[in-house]
Amino acid sequence: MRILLIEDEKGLVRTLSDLLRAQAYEVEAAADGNEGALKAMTGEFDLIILDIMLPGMSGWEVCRTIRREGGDVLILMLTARAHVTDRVSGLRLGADDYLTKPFDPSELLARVESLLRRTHREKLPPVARFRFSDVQVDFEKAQVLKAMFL
Amino acid sequence: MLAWLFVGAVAVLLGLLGLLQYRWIGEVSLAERATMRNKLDQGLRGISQAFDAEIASAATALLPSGTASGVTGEEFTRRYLAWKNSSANQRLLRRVNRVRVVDGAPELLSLNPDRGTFQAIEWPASWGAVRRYLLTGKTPEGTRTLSELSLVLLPVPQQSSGPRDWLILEFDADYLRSTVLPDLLRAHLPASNPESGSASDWEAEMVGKDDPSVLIAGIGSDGPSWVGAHPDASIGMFSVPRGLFSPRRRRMDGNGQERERESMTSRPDWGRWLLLVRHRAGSLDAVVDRSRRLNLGVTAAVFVLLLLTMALVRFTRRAQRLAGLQMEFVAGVSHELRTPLSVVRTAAHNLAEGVIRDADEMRSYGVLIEEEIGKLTSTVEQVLKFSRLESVQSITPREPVNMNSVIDRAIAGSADALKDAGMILELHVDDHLPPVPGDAAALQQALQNLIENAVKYGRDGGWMEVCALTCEMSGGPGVEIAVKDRGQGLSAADLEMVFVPFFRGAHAIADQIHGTGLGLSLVKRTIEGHGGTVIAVSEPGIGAEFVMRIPVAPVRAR
Repeated sequence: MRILLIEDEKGLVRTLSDLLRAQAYEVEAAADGNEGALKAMTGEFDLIILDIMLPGMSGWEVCRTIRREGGDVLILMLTARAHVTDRVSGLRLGADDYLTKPFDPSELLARVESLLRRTHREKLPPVARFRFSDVQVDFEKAQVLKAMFL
Repeated sequence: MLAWLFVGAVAVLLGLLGLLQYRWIGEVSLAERATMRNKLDQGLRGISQAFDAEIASAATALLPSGTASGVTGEEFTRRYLAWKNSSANQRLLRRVNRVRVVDGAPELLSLNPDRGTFQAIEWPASWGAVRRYLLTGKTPEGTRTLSELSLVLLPVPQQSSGPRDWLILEFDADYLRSTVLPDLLRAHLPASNPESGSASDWEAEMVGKDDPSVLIAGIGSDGPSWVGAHPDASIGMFSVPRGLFSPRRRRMDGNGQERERESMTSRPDWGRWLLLVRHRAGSLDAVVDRSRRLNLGVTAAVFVLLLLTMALVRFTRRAQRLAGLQMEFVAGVSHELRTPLSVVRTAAHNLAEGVIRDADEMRSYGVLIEEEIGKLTSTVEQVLKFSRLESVQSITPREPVNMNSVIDRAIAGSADALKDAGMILELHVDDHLPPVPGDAAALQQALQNLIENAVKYGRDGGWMEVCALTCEMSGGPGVEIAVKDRGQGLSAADLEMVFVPFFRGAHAIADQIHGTGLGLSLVKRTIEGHGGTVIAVSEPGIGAEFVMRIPVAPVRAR
């Protein structure tokens, strides 16, 4: 799993990268909004951790740019502003989740995992389900259904 | 700027409105004065006419028409009783007298209605002028005596050959004074405000027509009153007898119709008496003035209220803006606190969970945590310092401060930030700056704030300059220190607000540049605490320059 960390605070880049790498994620960092948006558009990342207060281009603009260009990468926003309007506008712009600084690092890990797991499941190929006449076999859910339940 | 223009425009408008209102009130007062004067004149004419009509009706009722030689006492009694039955003012006529000039001696007779005959009576002492007039046929000198008498002298029509025969109607002066005239005043000049407790707004006085020093009666709606030297208006009264005294009127003897008609036509210069009236408030002008002053007072009060409201609105807006700035400040400060806190928290987690095991890495984590704690401390310090300066407003202690070393230390303190930003620093510092009385640490902090500001906002320009030299200030020599950058600069609107506590420029907010909005206001307070000044000059897109000047001469603590 590849994670892009867009954050200008060097200390946070360092500690977060160490934390995520210890969980076997591949981590790449970008120090400002423009660089971050460019890297995000390459499509090489499964998830982006995005700070809102960034030099050059704010986190909101980065998020808007990615979504406008059709990128469907997962975005987890980090905000230092606890105000509800800040969170709401982040989610409206297309972020998948948010965390308020200072966050608990284990909570960050948990959210990253849960976001990735959910998408992973959605991205499973449709071949995971087969249908023969009136019988359906679902490998993902380990279910076999007969016609009356379909 | 726009707000002040608006206030100016409103003030000009208010001034204009005030002027118009002032003139309008003046016009209203004039109109009011004219109306009152008109009403007064009408009322006076009414009083005069009614009074004269009353007298005339008595005269015509009693005077027999046609030749009346040998008119008997019964005839007069009949006429007198008929008048009395028809008149509302039965007490008006006190006595009916008759004079006959027989052999050059006027004989005075008085009608006794009970017996229906005339009885001879003595001439009253005060009637001397009448007696003389009847003897000589001339209006006697000193009409004054006549004016005082409420008599009407009527020639009884007769053949020219017979003895001269006169009727003297003696009116009741007390009744005129106490009842008839006050009634007329109430009827014709009623009070404009019936609630005022007085039946008329006017006080009146009756004087002799030919000699105004002769006081006949003081008349008020509520009791006798006196007008004095400055009446608001006057009108002639008691016209009937005057006509009879004049030669012209005598030629009309025998024509009652004619006499009555003319007597009814009251003119101000007509009559034996003069009715003077004055407003209860002192004069008509006093009343008009009073209502004008009242109007002006009310208008002025309205204007003052309007101004107060405007001031209140402005004050409220200021308070709102301040509240807005403080909200921004809370958001800004919380960001300044939250970011280092999250670094420290994550670092602690990594250490505790064994993510970091390598000794070198652990050491560098320690350095990182120290740095972040340093940021936290400086933010907290700034907020605390601001609140301290807010309450104390003065700088202590005052000792000579070497400005060269202040500049050196400030630059050394900002060295890391400058290095990180990769900016070129140009220094033009006079090596022998005079010492400044003040607080070395506060001055260093102020200069460091300016330099760090230039780093934050002038990073794009890649260059900054610090100049220091001796300068002339209004109170003597001073030290001038200027910090220049080539960043984005400040818009005119931001420039105006740049020293306001909690204010953050539009560019700073848009570019998410960290800060509390307190730095420059702290600089301003520190420098002003040293008796100096600090100004900001900027051209958007070209750069900004902050110049502080501190006087060298010791300033007395405020």
